[in-house]
Amino acid sequence: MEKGTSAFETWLREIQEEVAKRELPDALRTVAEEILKRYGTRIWFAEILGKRWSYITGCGGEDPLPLRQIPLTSRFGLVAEKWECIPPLEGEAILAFLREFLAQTGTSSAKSEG
Amino acid sequence: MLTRDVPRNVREWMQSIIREEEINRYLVNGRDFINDEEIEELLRKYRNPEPQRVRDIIAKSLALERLEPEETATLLNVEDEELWEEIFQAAGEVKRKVYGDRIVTFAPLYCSNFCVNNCLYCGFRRDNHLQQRRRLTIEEVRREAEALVSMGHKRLIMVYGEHPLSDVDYIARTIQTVYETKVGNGEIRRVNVNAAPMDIARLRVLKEVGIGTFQVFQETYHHETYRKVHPEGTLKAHYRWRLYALHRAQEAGIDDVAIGALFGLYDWKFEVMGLLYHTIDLERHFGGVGPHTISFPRLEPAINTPFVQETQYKVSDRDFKRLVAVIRLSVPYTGMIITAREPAHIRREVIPVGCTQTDASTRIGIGAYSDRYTEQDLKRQQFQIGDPRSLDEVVRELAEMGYITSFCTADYRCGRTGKYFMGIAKKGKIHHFCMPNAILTFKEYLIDYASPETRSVGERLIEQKFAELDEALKPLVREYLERIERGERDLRI
Repeated sequence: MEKGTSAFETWLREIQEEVAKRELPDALRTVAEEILKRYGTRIWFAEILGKRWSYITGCGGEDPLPLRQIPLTSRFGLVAEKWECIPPLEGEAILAFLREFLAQTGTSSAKSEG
Repeated sequence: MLTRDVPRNVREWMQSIIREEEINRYLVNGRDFINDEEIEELLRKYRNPEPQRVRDIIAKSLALERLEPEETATLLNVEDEELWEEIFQAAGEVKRKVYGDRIVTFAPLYCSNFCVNNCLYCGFRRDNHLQQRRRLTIEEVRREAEALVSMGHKRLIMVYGEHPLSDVDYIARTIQTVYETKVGNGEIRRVNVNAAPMDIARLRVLKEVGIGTFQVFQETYHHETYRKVHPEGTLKAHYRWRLYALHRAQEAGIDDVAIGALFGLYDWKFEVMGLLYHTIDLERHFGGVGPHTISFPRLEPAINTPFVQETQYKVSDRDFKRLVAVIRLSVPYTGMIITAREPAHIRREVIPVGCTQTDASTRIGIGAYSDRYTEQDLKRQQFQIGDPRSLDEVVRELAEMGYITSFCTADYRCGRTGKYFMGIAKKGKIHHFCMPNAILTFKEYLIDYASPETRSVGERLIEQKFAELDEALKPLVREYLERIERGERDLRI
């Protein structure tokens, strides 16, 4: 059976709870890992600095694929491989959550993992 | 962006630059990571290496592992010509494994030649009264950028003397101006910066405007030589402020940093070892992220600068090729930049042993691109360049040598920077991205800017390199090539 809406909502709520406990880079990494596990979609997060999208964290792959770049706030963006593997409504809900989360916590400059 | 009071005079400004606390935290028992005695000892200890030992080290490089200092010292001590040939072959192979047959091309843009320093080897030095001082206005920067975009450039290195007239706020404004400049389909997509060492607060200003790579060359890693060529009382005299400039850049969030040495100030073998130690220290402090690129300029003549003729450490063409190959084997993942300081025949000879980037259509006089003068004018140049050929000529020659000229800036515009980029490069997989993006940006160049002759050579090379791509990639790259022919731009993987 396909993943139902309620299962998705449970999954997203658990991520929101987990993310709330973490600092910014760790929180974003958690989201990237969970999305990879659930959808097989690789995402990574970047700080938007003019033309530069500067890596913060994520689960980026090593194979060349078409990319989708999604600004989340004026400061942060998400880059995805195979974003189309996420059902549109679920993708919108994930993006809404990330935008709200980053608006609350990600107003200052992020330091990348490492 | 930070705002700063304009300093009332140069001396006050100079006193605001160096922050010892941003150096001291990196020192170990009060020492920096360059141990001159240890380097000299390694270079003595590993003289006359056994051929098998050299071949084992070459094999390690071919497995894309970064070398340790004793291994690099061993390679530097090879005397046998046949072994050097093996080193050259391996260096080319390492480059192909990591980056593929592509050369990234850029242009330098010198914005100001005012300088508070007095470096003996430099045409911009404070006391060189034959140097005509000029700082480009923002409008002049725009005109320079338009001229460069019109040639087909997508990537610049912007260069500034160290002076309050070209402080970080000026640098930031000039970069923003370049990024805003568009001519037809063209624009500068990545601006790298070569500027003086800064404190972390100033570096954050550079980060905010979205620079590509921040480049600071140590010039010489040899402490005593450094002291001799950078007179006391100048900012640049502070060896450690410069040595840790890129550590501070990383701390400020600039995760692509570039190192280099000016060959000709001291023994070239020592400088190669210094570059390796610098690489290792950056890796150690920043989660394995070493230098994005390494540069190896040779000292060139400059107006009213007799030091250049007098130095006993000039690097011969033979040794230059050797040092480039050893750097390539020592740090397999790094980009390596050969510039138009070198004449065309040296570039032809040395690019195949490991270089990944070069400049073209190079003019280093302040305002030189929009003034459109063709002869070199040493009164407004830091040094004399060896290869003033146009971008079209360089692109055509590279194509004839089998290299795609890449105008790709994809990584830095999609978050493949710093640790992410380094992880892919160290595994030798970055060419999976580089080659398709090189082909796509080369196609754009051929359509928009190339001469008919260059386009003819280039189109043949694209088909050849396309045929060598992974089968799974071909449909996407073919689709993108067709879309570029129909007028779309900036398609990337």
